[in-house]
Amino acid sequence: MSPLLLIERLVMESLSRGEKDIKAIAEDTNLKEEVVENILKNLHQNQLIKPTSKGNYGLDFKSLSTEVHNINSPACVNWEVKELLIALANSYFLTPPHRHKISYQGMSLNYYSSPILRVKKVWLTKDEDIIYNSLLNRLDFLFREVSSSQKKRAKEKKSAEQKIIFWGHSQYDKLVDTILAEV
Amino acid sequence: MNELQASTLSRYLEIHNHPTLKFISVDTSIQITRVFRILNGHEMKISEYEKFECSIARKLGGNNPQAMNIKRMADKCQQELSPRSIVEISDLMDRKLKIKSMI
Repeated sequence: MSPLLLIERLVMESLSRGEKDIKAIAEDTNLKEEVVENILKNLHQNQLIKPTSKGNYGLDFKSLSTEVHNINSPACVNWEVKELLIALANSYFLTPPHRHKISYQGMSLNYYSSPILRVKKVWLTKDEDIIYNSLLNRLDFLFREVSSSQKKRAKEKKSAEQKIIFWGHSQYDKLVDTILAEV
Repeated sequence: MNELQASTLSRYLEIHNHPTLKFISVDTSIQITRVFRILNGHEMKISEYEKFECSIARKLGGNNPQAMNIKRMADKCQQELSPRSIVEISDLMDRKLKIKSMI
């Protein structure tokens, strides 16, 4: 089975939160009903989902148990991340972000509405590197907290409304080496 | 009208902004009465199909050389790039087509 497309993953994620009919999936994912129908056809062919009662669809847990390693293999997740990154870069450079000030707990903060993308090329001193790493740790902590309270929130929210957030870094020459090694 | 003919003609008409029969005839060197028949569903010969495809490639090439060269580029990639790169490019093309088929 070829790596899932982003839109296929979105529908799978929607169904992982409970069985739905086409209309409910379209509502949850903000995809058109005919697009959802085509995606469901493909996922059903690959035995990842199955029709259940009253025109609903649900995950096919029996075949998923054998396919899950494939779906979440590094090669497949690599495609997902690439698709998300390309879409983010394209949407960011086509529609620059709107920034406005908000007041939070007595502080004035810049609030960025999506999409936003930042890339920096910098030399960090040891101290700056430690500060940067501590901020990464705080981000990790924040998302661990978010994950634990996610279940309650998931019932009220649409799958399509999730915020997609990236972070990461590498050294310039390592990325260049990867590009050179891949051609 | 078969699917390939319909898709070629619809791309041709879209790219040329729904031209007149006379324009199509001059552009493709196909007689105007024959163009009329083709547009009304008569099956195209391979030579006619190639003329339409050539015109599409020419037109795309004027605005976007990379789009015109996609076949040539694909050949060159196949000759020069590593198997890993070729798989990556063809996977990307495959995914784009798969998305297109769903929307």
